[in-house]
Amino acid sequence: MRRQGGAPRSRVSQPPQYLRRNLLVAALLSLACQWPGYARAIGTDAGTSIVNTATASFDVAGLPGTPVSAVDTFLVDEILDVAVVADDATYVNATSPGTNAALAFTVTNTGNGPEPYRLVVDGSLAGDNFDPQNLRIYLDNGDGVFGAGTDTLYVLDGNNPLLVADASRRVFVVADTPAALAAGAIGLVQLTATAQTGSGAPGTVFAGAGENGVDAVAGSSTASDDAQNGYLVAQVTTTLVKSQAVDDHAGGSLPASGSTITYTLTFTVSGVGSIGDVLVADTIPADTTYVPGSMTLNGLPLTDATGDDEGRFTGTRIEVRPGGGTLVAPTVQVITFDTDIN
Amino acid sequence: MIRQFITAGVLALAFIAPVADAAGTVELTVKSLQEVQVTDKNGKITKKTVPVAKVVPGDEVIYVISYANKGKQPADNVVITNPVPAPVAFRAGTSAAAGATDTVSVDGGKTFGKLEALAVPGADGKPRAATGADVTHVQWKLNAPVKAGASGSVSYRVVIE
Repeated sequence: MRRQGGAPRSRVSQPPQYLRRNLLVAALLSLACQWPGYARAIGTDAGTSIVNTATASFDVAGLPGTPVSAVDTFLVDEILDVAVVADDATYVNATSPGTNAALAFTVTNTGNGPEPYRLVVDGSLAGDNFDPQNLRIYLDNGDGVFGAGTDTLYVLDGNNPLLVADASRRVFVVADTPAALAAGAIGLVQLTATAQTGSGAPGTVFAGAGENGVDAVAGSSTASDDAQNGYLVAQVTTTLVKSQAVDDHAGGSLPASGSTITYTLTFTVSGVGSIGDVLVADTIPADTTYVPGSMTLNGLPLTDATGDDEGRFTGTRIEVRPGGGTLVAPTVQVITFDTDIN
Repeated sequence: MIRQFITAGVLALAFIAPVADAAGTVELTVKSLQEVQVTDKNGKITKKTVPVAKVVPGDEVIYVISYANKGKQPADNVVITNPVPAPVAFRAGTSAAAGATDTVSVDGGKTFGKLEALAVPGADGKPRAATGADVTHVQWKLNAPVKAGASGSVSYRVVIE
């Protein structure tokens, strides 16, 4: 019944040590009670039976009596809590008009018992430029990436995601974008997850509704939580400009055998929004040899090796993924590398 | 039924070693209580101790162990021992024992002492001062015999982990 793999018993705040026996009565009266004690999000599982057995030994007329013992047992009640976070670091790009733009959220059961959660999405928030349309919620299949064909369409109270204590589930809010929106327009959405058993002010009791028939109690989250993110109507344009400079190592710029050519690639992202999967690649020209270790990104050196930074040399071309492949407009990325003329 | 077993046990033991005919002498009860706030009709808030009705992780529970001498002779050398249940943590300084000497164990009941004087292996392998969360057993030695018909209680507080 005990929580498996739980934290060691080291989380209890210590009352003062001065409470000695001659202060017993005062101690009992003055000890700060932890009511209402619903701050802890995780802990002993709901429905756990806590059994306390005390024993007493004694002597009678100089001879040992048979020790006696006594037991009292109670069950740990269920605390209903939840946390919702938006997982995208920024607004997500949308087009106008557009369909099926996905926002990622994570719902976590921060209570101490298994609980299904009701999910509601609201696209009619104040403080934005448009209301996302055709709002849907999908339950992720575990790969963390939205796919209308692979993830499960959520139906309120039809397939409320059941989460055991401390478990999380990725969910996606998916929406369409109206036509004729200006670039830069923002449409906010809010995802709310609420314990199916119920929600309310911390301490609200749902009698008998917990695991193993114990009471369920709304925790510090009120058994409901929400998070916001939004769609940004993106209009991103990119340009790539290549230039070169020759150094003949004799003070001039004659393109001759032994001269070094420094190529500069300037990648400009303008407009509003972000772009992903950015890869700037350039094949080393014939009759030239790449100068090992000569790659730079925005003035900082990149190694030729794969995987240790944003750049690599494949043997035939240089490849750079500025920003790890994701860039938010507006930005300018400058890449340089050197080749020697054979 | 239980008393019959105890009597049978005492009779069996009597052939091995002298044992007092102590059946039914000391009775023990354990109660799990909690403090709740009660608001009266004037809006005044008072704390009240009631049997455990609703506990969740983080809540405090008061264990009260009561003893009573139901026999005709005094009970001497009364020692009450209470292993702290696994999913709760002892709150240091809450052991209450009028007329008793209280100690705790942090090694599964092998040795007992005052919590301030006890140490446990720390994360770095070196001993560190024990805390309430390290306590595995609480023990009370009554300072005086319990007379026939007399009773009393000891208590301590725990937090549900």
